[in-house]
Amino acid sequence: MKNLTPLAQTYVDRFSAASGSLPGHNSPAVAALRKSGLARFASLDFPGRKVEEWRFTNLTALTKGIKTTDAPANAALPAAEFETPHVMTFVNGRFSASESRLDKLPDGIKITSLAAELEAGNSALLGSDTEDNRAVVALNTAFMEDGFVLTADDMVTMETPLLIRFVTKADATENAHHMRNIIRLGEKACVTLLEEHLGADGHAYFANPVTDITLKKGARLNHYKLQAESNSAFHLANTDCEVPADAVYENFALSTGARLSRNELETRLSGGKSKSILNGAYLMRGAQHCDTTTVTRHLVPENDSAQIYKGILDDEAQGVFQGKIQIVPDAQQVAGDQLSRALLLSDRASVSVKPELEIHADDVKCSHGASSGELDEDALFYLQSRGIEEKAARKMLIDAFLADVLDEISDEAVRQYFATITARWMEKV
Amino acid sequence: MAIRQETVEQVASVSDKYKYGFISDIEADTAPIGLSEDIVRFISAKKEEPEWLLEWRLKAYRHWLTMEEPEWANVHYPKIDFQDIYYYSAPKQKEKLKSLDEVDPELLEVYKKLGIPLKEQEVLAGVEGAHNVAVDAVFDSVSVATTFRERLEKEGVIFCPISEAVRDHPELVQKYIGSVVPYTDNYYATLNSAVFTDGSFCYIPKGVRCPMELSTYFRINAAQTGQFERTLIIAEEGSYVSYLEGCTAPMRDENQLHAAVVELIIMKDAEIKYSTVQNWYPGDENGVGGIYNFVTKRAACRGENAKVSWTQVETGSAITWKYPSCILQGDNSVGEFYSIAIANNMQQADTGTKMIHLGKNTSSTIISKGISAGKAQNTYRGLVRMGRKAENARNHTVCDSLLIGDKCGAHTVPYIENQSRTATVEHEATTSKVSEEQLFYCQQRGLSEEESMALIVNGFCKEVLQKLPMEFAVEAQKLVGISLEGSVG
Repeated sequence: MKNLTPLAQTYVDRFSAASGSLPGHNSPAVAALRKSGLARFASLDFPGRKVEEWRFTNLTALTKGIKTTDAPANAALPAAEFETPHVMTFVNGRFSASESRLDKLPDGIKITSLAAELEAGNSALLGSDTEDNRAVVALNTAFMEDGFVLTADDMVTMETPLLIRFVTKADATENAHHMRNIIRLGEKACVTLLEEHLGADGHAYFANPVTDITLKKGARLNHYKLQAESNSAFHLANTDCEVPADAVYENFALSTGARLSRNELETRLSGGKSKSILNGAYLMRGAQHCDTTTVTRHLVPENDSAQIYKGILDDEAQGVFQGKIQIVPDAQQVAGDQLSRALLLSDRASVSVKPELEIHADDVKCSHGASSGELDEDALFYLQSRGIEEKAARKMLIDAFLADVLDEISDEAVRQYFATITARWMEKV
Repeated sequence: MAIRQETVEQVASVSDKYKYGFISDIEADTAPIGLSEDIVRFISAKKEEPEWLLEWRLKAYRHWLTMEEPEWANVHYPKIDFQDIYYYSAPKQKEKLKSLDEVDPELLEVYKKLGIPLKEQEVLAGVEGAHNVAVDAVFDSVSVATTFRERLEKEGVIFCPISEAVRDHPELVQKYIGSVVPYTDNYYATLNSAVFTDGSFCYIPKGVRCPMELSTYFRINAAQTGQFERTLIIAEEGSYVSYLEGCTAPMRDENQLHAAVVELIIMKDAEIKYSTVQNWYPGDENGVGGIYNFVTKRAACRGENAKVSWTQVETGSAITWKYPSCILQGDNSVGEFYSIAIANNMQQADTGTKMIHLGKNTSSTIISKGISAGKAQNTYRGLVRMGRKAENARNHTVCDSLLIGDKCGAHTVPYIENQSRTATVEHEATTSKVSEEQLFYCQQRGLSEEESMALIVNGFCKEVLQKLPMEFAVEAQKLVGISLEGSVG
């Protein structure tokens, strides 16, 4: 057998000792699932640069082992800024009831912690192991410790967004957490969800969340995510979403944190008139590396997908965007659009893009566009000729560049919240 | 009457599915089947090559043994048995030929069928001006005839088979061979370096504008033979050359391998325009037979203001695996790639380009038109890389795919890597089918469904067809129509 990377080896070594204390250890089904996840992970290892899907993102810094933290143990974390009556908080990978407020949820909406569900023997909600080559998902299956389980009954609409915070404090004993989140929306249910991933700067850890979403006919999920992990953290997230007939999945990911992050989204459009809307913005500086990878599968005729991703890269930051649109044979009358744009603010910043179309049906309309470069000199000159100072003109253009994609967020409150965060990031440019 | 005759001929030429599919019974001089160090030595000895070239070949062969066949391309085929191929086959020659008249008449017949103006028609050239093309014809493993050499020599242009160049201009060959595509480059290029048998060599001296188009016709004739040719073109400072290549092969129900390497070197202020019409036998409707076309083509713009332009019309081959690339080293150098790739029936094409921007103010343009019909799979795969020092570099890419029928596939896989703030990279791609309205409109004007399709497809390809030299443009346009035979209705 080939040698595993040091970090992968520690996981394999630790598994039998750790699995006894992980939630659901009494359930043979959960134990079997974990075992198969570990076996798959051990056969895959963390992906190296030779793996096509990972050619732009190098995990060596993670796989040689995470260095211990050097952040002040009591470093303060920003309080929740987003105002909503419904808040669920996970601290250091565990549900924290004291920092959650879930008593005002409307009827038909239920949210619990995965650990509690598994302890109660409810292992069926996990489904079966996915047989694919995503090593970090397999690792999550083996070591998942907690997460949220959100279910909505048919026809239930929740007006106000639900905020779910994943906070890693500097006093965490474990330097990694593997959250498994499950979302199930009933027919014509409509829910808005905002995830926040936060960590104390300087604290090194590995966050490996996996979110499994199933919508029923006509459901709509507005799924927003703010990734503002510690600047020393590794964040490798995977989200899978099944979108049946008449259902809509909207996702917006705003990434400003982590030393190295990858947000991987896979949507499966499995019904007619279904729609997936994936958008995002990444704002990176210093030596940050941010990877966005999406796979959109059109499995039946008549559905749409749209994507817009924008990145701003300063200092030595690296941006990656990989987006694949797949249309299987006979999935006619499909429209798939994708746009990826990156702005380089520094001579040392770089961006790598791989938009991919895989099309096996003829009556389709698909397009992708990708561009990268600096601010348009002509636009800058125009603004300056109108008496606007260069600095202000630059800011104006960057604002406009981002506004394009922020405007795609359909929830007003989240849109404003994200605009505040991007404005704050820009002050430091 | 005349019109009617023309119509009859046209119908005949169109219904003739692959008109180059004849086999010529020409006595051939063939090396034993299979590949070994001895075969490499045999080829080298046959070519009376100097020691350094044999050494280079052997180094390549030994390196090849350590390599694995690439599998990343979106093409599927049974594993190639490299021991079941003849690596050398040449039309038998009793003695050195003095003029074209002594060439085997059967061979001349082949070229006549191919429509190649092989005979030097200098007299006519003045009148018609149409045959003003110098031709190097490569038959299986060797170059059989090169025309217009005298006229070219007057300008100092060297245009000859590469095996002759090795003999007559060893210093040039030794200096440049493998300098753009090293023998370690990739599986097929390495194989080619070990066993290449012939190809064209072209050297344009400083300040010379080559007075005519240079052209090479490649033909695989013998059964079970692989063709491994190597083309090397050097354009010295301030020179210009337009080079054309065409390829055909007989219809056979086995697959044949074609693994060529093309290296272009462009110095300061020089320009090379390289056009290809690739019409290897594509196999039949069921995917039996056809050529495996695994080609490595690369151009290095070494000096300032150097320019290279690749234009390709890919209609043939069962499998195409080809990425003509440009390394833009010199400041202000320019790379262009114009491509039409048509895949019908069971054909598979995985083609595209690489633009590596290293120098300042370098610019590149990529226009790729992919057409899939029948059960074919057509993939555009390309790379645009802006290096750290590529200040103010620019790239613009347009990849359009057209689908005809619901059983084919069109794929686009671009890689874009930008490390330069001041560089601008733009990429756009679309995929769609021929609109019913357009088809209806043409048919309503009296065109048949098939003619309408050919017209629309030609319109779709126009941007690229216009880049071809005139002699080729007409042929290519016809080819587009023929390749799509039977894809409608």
